[in-house]
Amino acid sequence: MGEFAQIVINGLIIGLSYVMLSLGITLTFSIRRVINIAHADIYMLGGFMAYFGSQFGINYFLVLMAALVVLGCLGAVLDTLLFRRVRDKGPAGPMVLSLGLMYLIEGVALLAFGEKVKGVPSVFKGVIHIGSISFGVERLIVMGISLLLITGLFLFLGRVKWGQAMRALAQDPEAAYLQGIDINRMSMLCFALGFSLAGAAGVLLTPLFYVGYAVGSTLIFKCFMVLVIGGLGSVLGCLVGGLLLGLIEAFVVAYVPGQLAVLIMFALILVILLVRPQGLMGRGELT
Amino acid sequence: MTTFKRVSVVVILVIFLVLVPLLFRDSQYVLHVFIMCSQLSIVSLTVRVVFTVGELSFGQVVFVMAGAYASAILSTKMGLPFWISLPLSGLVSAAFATLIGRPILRLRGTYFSILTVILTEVARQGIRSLKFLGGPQGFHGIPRPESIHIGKFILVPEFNTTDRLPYYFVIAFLLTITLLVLWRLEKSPTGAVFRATRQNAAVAESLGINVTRYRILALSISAFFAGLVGSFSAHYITIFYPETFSLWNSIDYVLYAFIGGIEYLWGPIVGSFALTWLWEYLGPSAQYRMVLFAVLVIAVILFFPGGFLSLVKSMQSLRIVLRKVLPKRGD
Repeated sequence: MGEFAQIVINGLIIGLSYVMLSLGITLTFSIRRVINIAHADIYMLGGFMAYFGSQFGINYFLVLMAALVVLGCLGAVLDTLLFRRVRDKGPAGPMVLSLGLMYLIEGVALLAFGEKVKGVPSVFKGVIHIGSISFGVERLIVMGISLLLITGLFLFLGRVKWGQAMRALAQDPEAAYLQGIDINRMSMLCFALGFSLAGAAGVLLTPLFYVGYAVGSTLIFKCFMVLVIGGLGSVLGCLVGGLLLGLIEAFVVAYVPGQLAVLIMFALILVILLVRPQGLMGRGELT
Repeated sequence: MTTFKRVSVVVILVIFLVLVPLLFRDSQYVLHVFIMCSQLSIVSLTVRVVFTVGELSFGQVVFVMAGAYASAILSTKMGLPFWISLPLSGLVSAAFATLIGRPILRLRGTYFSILTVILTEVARQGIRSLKFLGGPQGFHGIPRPESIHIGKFILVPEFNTTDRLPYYFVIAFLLTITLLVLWRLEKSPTGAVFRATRQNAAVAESLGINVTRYRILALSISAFFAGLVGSFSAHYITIFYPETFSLWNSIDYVLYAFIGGIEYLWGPIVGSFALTWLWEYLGPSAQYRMVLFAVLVIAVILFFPGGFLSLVKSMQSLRIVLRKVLPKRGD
């Protein structure tokens, strides 16, 4: 029983980080119609912020706030400098552009931080016991903050005027223009939010795992799997797909030995592809 | 095709097929790099074939892998000579593409590209866990191509480990054939249909064109040539693992095509040759290579989306403009 709960918690934590990453990709996709392949590298930047934060003894929450702000600004800047210029040029060019961006960020990280992966000591020590089940406090806090951020984003999209404007742009750009919605401003906001979430995920999860310059390119692949499971362009699909992938991974890794685990996961993906190639939540509007 | 173009194509082919082997006959290193360039060019060209129907495929390495594995099995387990397993593995790869094309080509644009990324990983992991395909150890000891005699007359000499020249001729020949076939394809009605499905699939469909079938056809053609490269590389390096065929190779094929100019038939070739030689010049230890590559890619997409070749074209048009503006000599 204890082991089972542990696996669920692990799966949820990984799943939530997938959700945080792929939410940003989905948001920016829904407005710019571009998959930003470099998105997961923002996780890596967040991770390095956590690493240097702990090296210099800066408060964990301060680092988290800094990651949210700094990486959010980076998103807005990159949107203005790069992605705005390739709008309405078909999906291929912008996709290659973001690939270039990924190489750029990883290349610079390689030069600046070196090849070695880095660990960050855990911030919150202690274990909570509930009956026979025990949880690490750190994992619970990470889960809590992730949930908070994701809920915040959902509330923003649902209740706040700018969030609604984003959804309008995703559903019908022409009609949104006619309502006076500025696509460039919204797109900057989208990139900022997406990058903030990705950076926060990096700060939150690096103490549990590790960070290295190439961590983004393994993660982006997981994000693609989330998008394919959930359905591209669907925020709800992100949530479902991310949690599902995290849980499946945790269970398969725990109960199935080594190589078979990977194969089973891919077989599941393959089944989804064959039965519902557009993803579980279909391709639809941004809700 | 103008006479100038005709002549320049012939000149390039002569340089490639005659001059390079004559000049670098003794430099195994140069020959090796040329062999790698040619392999990259062919696969990069296949990226372009899929691009003519409007899709960006990151999955070309899967077809290379299919060709390599098909060839390895055909030659080691069934004892077929290289010269038969080469075209057969191209066909196997094309058949595989037809099979998987049906589900994945239902999706378009970004979604298709994402699926191809996942496909590369699925295929690699799948092969890793299949024992009869060698598992994680892959294949080793793939026989080198056989010599061909007709009576006393030696048509193809013995292939050995010390001389790469015969390999060079094989891959140069393959590249020439690929280029010819793809050029003919582009001029053919089928090529026109490919372009039509890219520009507006709905209109093409309303004209009675089975768009899905043509999309699958394009993928299969691309897979055929990628499979040939896979087969060749299997017999060239004689050993490979599932990790030989990673997503990064696939991404390189795409980036080379874009840097060279994916709208032009020669673009992928120019990109592959230029960048491979650039990397060789910089050396393997250059850590800034990744940044340089990134800057190149971003610059190409932002400032000259037509790639290197579009620069050449614009210089040509500049010359024409200058010729009209400047006073003629003798006036």
